[in-house]
Amino acid sequence: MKRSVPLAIVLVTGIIYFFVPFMTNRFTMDFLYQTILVDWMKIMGVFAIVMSITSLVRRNVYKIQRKVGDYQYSWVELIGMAFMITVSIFLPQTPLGKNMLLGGIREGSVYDWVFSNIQVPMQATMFSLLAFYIASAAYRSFRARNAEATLLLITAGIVMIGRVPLGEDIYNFMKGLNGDASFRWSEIFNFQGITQFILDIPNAATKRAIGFGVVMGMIATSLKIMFGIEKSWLGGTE
Amino acid sequence: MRSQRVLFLAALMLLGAAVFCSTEKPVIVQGVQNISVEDYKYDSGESVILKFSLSPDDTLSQGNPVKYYRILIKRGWLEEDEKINPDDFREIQNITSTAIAKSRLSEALRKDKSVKEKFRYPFLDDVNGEKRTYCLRLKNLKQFFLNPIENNIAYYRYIVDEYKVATDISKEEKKSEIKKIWAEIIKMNKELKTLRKELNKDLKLTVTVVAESAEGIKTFSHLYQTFEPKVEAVNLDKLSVFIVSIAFVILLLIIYQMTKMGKEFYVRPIAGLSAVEEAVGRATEMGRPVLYIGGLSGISDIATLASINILGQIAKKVAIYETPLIVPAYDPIVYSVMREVVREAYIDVGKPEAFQEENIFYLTSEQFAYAAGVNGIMVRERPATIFHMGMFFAESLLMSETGNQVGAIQIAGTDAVTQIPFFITSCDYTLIGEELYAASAYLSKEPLLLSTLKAQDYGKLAIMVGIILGIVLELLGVTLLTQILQNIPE
Repeated sequence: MKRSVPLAIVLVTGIIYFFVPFMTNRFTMDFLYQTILVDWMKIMGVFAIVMSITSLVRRNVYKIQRKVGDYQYSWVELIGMAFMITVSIFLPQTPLGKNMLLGGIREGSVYDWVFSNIQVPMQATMFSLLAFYIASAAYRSFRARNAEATLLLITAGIVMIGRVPLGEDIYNFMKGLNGDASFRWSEIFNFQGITQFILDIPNAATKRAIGFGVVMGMIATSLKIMFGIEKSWLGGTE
Repeated sequence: MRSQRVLFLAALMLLGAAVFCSTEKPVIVQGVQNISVEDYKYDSGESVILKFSLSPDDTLSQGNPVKYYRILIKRGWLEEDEKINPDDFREIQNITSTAIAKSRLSEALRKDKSVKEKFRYPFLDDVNGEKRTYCLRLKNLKQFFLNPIENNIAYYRYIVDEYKVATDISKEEKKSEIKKIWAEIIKMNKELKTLRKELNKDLKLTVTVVAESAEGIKTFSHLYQTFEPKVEAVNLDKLSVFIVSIAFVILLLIIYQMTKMGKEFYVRPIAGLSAVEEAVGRATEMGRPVLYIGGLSGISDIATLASINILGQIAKKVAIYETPLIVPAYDPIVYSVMREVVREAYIDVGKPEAFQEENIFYLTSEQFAYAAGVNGIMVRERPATIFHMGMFFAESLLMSETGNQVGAIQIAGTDAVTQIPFFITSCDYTLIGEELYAASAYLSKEPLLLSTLKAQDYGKLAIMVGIILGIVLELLGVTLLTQILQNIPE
């Protein structure tokens, strides 16, 4: 019963939703898509958020109670969360100074100020760290240890030069040296053109090949779940 | 003296004539011609294609008197002899005249040569190759009539918020004003509901186009078109996709049935998946936890479902060795499912007491906050093995590179083509594309599950044959297959 009911629901809804993309009537768009898929998902999300926050609090309380390594960060997390929940939900929207509100989530509220001036810059910092990570990863993968790595190094070098203004400058300079000669050897230095070729032909072909496999995998996974062949998502095997 | 007076009068008359001639008369432009409406196929019945011939005055050679076309629309159909009353119509869209658009475009092209071709002529060919017919899609027609009420409701709600934070009136006054506004909002909501029902029942409309001169003088052509957007039951545009999908379902079921009857299929080894056992064993030997990152997507994403399936298999292996398993979730719904999957896996292998609920937890739904949180876990907990399975975005390298730095053995799997290179660079094994979907079946080693992998392989084979056949037929000048494939909607 614990398994057969969810499996039956999945089978029935799976078959219905298999036909949804091929139908355009109002019942499909308004009821099957909007009401069931979008609205119900939101309702489920609300319940899931309560469970999620509970789990987050439980984990951090556990770490504080047992004084697990670096448990001080758990205090930061819990205090931060309690503060944001309090100012956004429980405090009244009374003015605080000239252009600030104490409660609520509107523009100019304490919640909004903390979000814009603390969380957003911190996220931007994390994102900007990516540049350094890319440099370190690129260094590791571009070492010419074998033929494939050497090919990768050369290709990446061409694409990088083709993507920066320097590539165009080199090409223009070489075109000047080449002059009006009938043999246009300067085309070897057309990094932008070569880059575009690499991206449009070999790169696009590889991406599409992966794409075909992904789509097949997606359909197969959906069917496995629909027909109850794959039951791992329910937990256990039986 | 007399001659002087005559001269003065003549000069005065000349001046008057000059002033009279120099006064610009308002330019009255000619209206548009031949308005027609076609249904926009395979939508939910809220779009049409409007076509109209341009005003004869919409041309640069005549000094371009037409500046705009205003498209007006009203609910209901006009009777045959009924005349247009402009006050009954509302403007749904206004567009710049083609002559002005052309001159602006040539200006833009002078400044920037990369202006795309598709922006060059947003109108159709008419007679003699001259482009004199405008064609545009009028969409969200229902929403157009609902918008005024919805905007009013939003405005009234804003007023309520303003009252809440107002300090210059008493509490009682605030309460009574807010009550009054809420009564209005409730009334408008009812109105909105009724209108929505009416529009769903009947969406008969009339459209007309007005040409407007630079001085703002509007010319009604007295042409109009009545129409009702249609809703098609089935989207025939996607018929080819439907047939291919059905064929794949049949193929999968045939292979599944054959496996059930005892036929064995060879499944190629996947290095990343063969290493899972070794990776979990390594964590056990080192006495360190296994970290499982299930991607940054919701439950409706198939990659997330595949990731959950893999988690179930890995959790079983981890449970057998009683190695700690840490699962930080990105999405609340995914968290709930993952927790149950891991719990069931521990129960399934007979180790329910080893399940640590606090290790499967929700972290955050902010992309880089999640990356920071996971990096923190990696640095503090020093996991021996890290799995990155599911959908990833720009944070993939931040997490996998940190994992690399802490010395963990990392196995990644994603169908996000743009993130695969990052994982290949920083992880020990990477499951590319479809291998992510094959992983669960591969790890379970169940023949019935493995049979579906064979169906995938046959599906890919069919695609390869199709591509080769398409190339050969194209070379022979037969374009039928290519045309069918090119008509498949995205």
